[in-house]
Amino acid sequence: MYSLLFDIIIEVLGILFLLYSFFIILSYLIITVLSALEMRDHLRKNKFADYLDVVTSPVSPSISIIAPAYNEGLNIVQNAKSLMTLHYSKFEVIIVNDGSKDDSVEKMIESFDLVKTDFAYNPSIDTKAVRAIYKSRNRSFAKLTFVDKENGGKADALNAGINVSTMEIIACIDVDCILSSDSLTRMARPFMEETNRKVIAVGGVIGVANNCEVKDGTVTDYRVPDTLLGKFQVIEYFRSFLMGRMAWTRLNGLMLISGAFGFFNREVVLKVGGYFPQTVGEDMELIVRMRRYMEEEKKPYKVGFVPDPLCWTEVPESEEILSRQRNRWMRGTIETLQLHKKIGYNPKYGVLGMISYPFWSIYEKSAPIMETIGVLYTLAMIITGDFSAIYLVALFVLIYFFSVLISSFSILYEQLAYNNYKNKKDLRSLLKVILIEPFLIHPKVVWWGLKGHWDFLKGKGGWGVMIRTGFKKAVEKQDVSVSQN
Amino acid sequence: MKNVLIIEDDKLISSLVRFRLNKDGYNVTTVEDGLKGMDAIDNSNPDLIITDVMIPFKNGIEIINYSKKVNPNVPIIVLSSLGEEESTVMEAFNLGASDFVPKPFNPNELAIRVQRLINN
Amino acid sequence: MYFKAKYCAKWVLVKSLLLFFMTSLSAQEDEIVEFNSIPIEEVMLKGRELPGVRFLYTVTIPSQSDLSGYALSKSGRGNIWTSDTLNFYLDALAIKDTVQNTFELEGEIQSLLFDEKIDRDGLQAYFDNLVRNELYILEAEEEAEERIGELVVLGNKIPFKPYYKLKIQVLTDIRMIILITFLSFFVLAAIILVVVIFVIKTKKRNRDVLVRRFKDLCYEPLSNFLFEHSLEEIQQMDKYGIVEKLPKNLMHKPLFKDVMIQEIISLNKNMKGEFKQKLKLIYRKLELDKHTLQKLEAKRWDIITTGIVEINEMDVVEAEGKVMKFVNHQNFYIRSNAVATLLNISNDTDLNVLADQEYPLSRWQQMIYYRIIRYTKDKRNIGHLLESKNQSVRVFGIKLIRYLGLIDQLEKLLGMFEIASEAEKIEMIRCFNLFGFIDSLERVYAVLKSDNQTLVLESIKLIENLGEKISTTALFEFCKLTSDFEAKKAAMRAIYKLDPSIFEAYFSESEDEVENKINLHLKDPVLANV
Repeated sequence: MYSLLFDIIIEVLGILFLLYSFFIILSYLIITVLSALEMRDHLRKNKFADYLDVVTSPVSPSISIIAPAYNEGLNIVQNAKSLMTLHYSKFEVIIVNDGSKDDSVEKMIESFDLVKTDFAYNPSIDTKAVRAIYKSRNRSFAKLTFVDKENGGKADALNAGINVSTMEIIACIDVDCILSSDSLTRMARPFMEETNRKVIAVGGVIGVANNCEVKDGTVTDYRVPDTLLGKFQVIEYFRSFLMGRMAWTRLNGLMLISGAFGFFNREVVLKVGGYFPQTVGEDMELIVRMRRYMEEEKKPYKVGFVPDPLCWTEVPESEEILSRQRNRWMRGTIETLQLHKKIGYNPKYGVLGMISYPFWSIYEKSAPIMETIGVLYTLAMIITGDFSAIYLVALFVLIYFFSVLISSFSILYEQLAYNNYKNKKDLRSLLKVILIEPFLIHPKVVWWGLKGHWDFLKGKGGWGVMIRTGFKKAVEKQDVSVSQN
Repeated sequence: MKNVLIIEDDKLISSLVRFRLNKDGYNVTTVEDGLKGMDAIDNSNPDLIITDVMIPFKNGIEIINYSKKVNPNVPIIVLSSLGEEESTVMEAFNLGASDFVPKPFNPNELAIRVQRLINN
Repeated sequence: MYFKAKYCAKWVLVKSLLLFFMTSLSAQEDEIVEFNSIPIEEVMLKGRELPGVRFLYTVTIPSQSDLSGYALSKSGRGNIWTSDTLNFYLDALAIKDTVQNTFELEGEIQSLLFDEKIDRDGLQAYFDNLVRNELYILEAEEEAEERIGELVVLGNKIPFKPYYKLKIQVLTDIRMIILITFLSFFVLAAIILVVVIFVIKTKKRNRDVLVRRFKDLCYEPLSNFLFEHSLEEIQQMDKYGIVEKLPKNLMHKPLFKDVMIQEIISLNKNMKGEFKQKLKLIYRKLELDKHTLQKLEAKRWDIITTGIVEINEMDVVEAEGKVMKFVNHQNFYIRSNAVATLLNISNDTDLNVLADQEYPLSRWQQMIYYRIIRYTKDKRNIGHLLESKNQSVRVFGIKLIRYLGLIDQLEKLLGMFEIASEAEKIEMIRCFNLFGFIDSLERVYAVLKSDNQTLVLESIKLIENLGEKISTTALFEFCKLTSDFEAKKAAMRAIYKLDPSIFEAYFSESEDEVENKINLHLKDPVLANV
């Protein structure tokens, strides 16, 4: 009797793995097709866009750039300067010092001739205490506002920036990002184009800046990084931005906008109460909450995405930092899904509830677990000499080829759309990484993801009770006070 | 023969201007971005520079700055794109640009300006 | 609730999978339990040999007849004749029949199992055992019957047991079926994708190479026309005269025409005066306008849009009617470019094409239309837009009044103010404010009660700019009631500007924290500069 039950469990597990992998591959095929269609449309649309007009037109929306900085003393001045030279007319730059322990504040004051003001800070969103708000005496830095506050994490710093901001659109960016000078005009376009739906947010592509030649805030020569981890991230970024997010945009199901470069409608952000500082995945959580709010209010809306290369950042090439980043991403995903479990598999939330949420919870969240169990299962089958080991090994071979195929495609996309990486040697080295990545790096990523799960279970970082019960409504976040933390 | 350097990312315009200036007997070099422009300033000894404001990697203002450092006597004509802000124009003149031609422009008129500046 | 539904779905899935397995497993067991016994006679009558089974015919005859001619031999005692031990039941039966026919004697067929006598039931049990243990395979036996003598074929036909088992296992194993489907699906999809990408890439590369070549070919003759020929000279040339100077074997290629048009348009944008006329003339003489008009018939939206843009840039005025069809097209790009083109090429001074827009105007469209209208404002009747049925068009009309400084329209706006929507009111107030239209002040006080924050903020700004000391009464009232920080700040700023002394009297000693904060903010000299 026991052995029969055991046999059944083994059988069912085997089938579940097969089905799971099948649906993963199927989804990726669909994603490939959808993103290809979206990319084609985007390139066609680009032919008819005159971005120069956006800079000066009185119709263009005004933009508040918010850049939180923590111990960025080395580059903060240079970065603030390059933000202020972006090609746009109606915009302001808000740098938020999140309680840095270095000399960021002194450097800023000195370089921009800043003085403390009596700025009436209105905490529409609850934040840690703001120590001072600085403006420059020099009229040519009138666009700059510098907020100095107690340390409260990135989300809290962004919230303080949102409270200070006055423009229609807020652009949340990492202070160390390199932005192309036309990034504001291009990102403003989706906000300007929609006729019937409200555009609540627009995401952009992040490029890997490591090893690229950068002159005065523009990437002049594209080079792939030297390390394997760096190259891997180049490919990964192609895959996630050019394929994944493009496909989700086509379905209007985009659930994640990179925290390093995201544009939001300020009004809606304030309505939902800004970022939620108690989760480590604040960027994803905000989008989900904003979408949820629009669904609950039954207002037609859209989350846009601009695949043009406009923003570059240095990605971590050290394994230690990367592992922490991936661990955090995984916890962020789990927490967001947990906070908004109400929308999952709920037809009332449309694409968000029926497609995006299930995809994230079945694949993005569970993939490391499923994969690990799959590998262990296969090993067990091989050791016991069970016949089904053959299928499972075949399955792994298939998945390997499939991942190679998808990665190669993402490089092709880049080539077709922008062709920034012109060096043939670079391309060859990327192709090599595609072949070895599933053996050398992917297991690590899975492992980091598992650790993320483990840390979530241990309750590390996150905000226990709230995350367990989840939000009953999108606007509920407003009642959550930072001081409760 | 006098050398003229054109820094302009629109190849059509630069070749058209080159065609026009060749007719007047100038030796014309065209480059399409700011970095190559700087190289050309170093290497080709231009007697006059025509530069667009919006060019890849650098902008016209930086080109003026650089050229003035290398050889302050070379006259510079700034070609501006549509919808250029006034501040840029002012800045260009402040830095020592000799002339300013807004697009759309008349190539014959540009040729006259070139001639006048080179003969001075 | 939703959780339940979610778990339910999961359970149904697991259960159905379990069920599937249970049934397939139990099916195998059933075979053993409900073994179908076949009567031994049936098999014996088919004339096949049963392993270990032999037959013996015995007959007792009364007379002294000699039966040795019938393959029988006399056994020791009496008149009992027996046959040899026979391998086939049918042989024994044949002897029995012969003896019966000749001597009318019954006789008896004895079954022997391994040379021991056995009764019918014992034989049946033995046979059942053979079948059950698959030592004797019925079907193969039957098939073989049809091919008597073809021993080799027969050998192949009888399944080798391990293979037989494997076949059953593979075909009934759902995992294998999934894997195979999956594999073929994947291979198919991968092939399609690779082919598609390869085709696209090659096409694109070829196209890029051609475009580059064509561009290089265009530039020389175009420069020649522009600098070596006067407008009159070009005017007098016919199509063939112009084609002469161009790579004429390419002139019929659509791609070359496209490149040519592109280059002409690009030059047209950057050139002034006479050059513009020359370019348009060349465009017409080469009959490229026909190529442009053809694009309007295309199915792809981007081709249609390209055609419309070309009509716009090259002033193909006669295409007005054709473009008109697209002004309310569902595709945003077709629609907005069609409207932009008509604003440029038609003499529609009442801006009917805009006023009759069915779709809401996006900001992008407003930006484009504003740029066009700005350069031709004197002949346009902006006021007509205010009568449009489309609210976004009316809003745009009000914006245009502000951008273009059409102060003669302010009275009309004020007349519409009461019935206007909030979006329109916001724009109207901005307009009144910018032009210092004092008459509007009285109407604006009422707006302070609105829930719309932008509307309230705009009206406070207007009061700040156009109001007098007396206006502060309404603002104080407002300050007391509002809980909106931004609005309060704006109202206090207005009071501060309109009547600093009353501001001081009221707010400098305020006990309200927010009022204090704003008070300080307003008086900060650095912030006042911004």
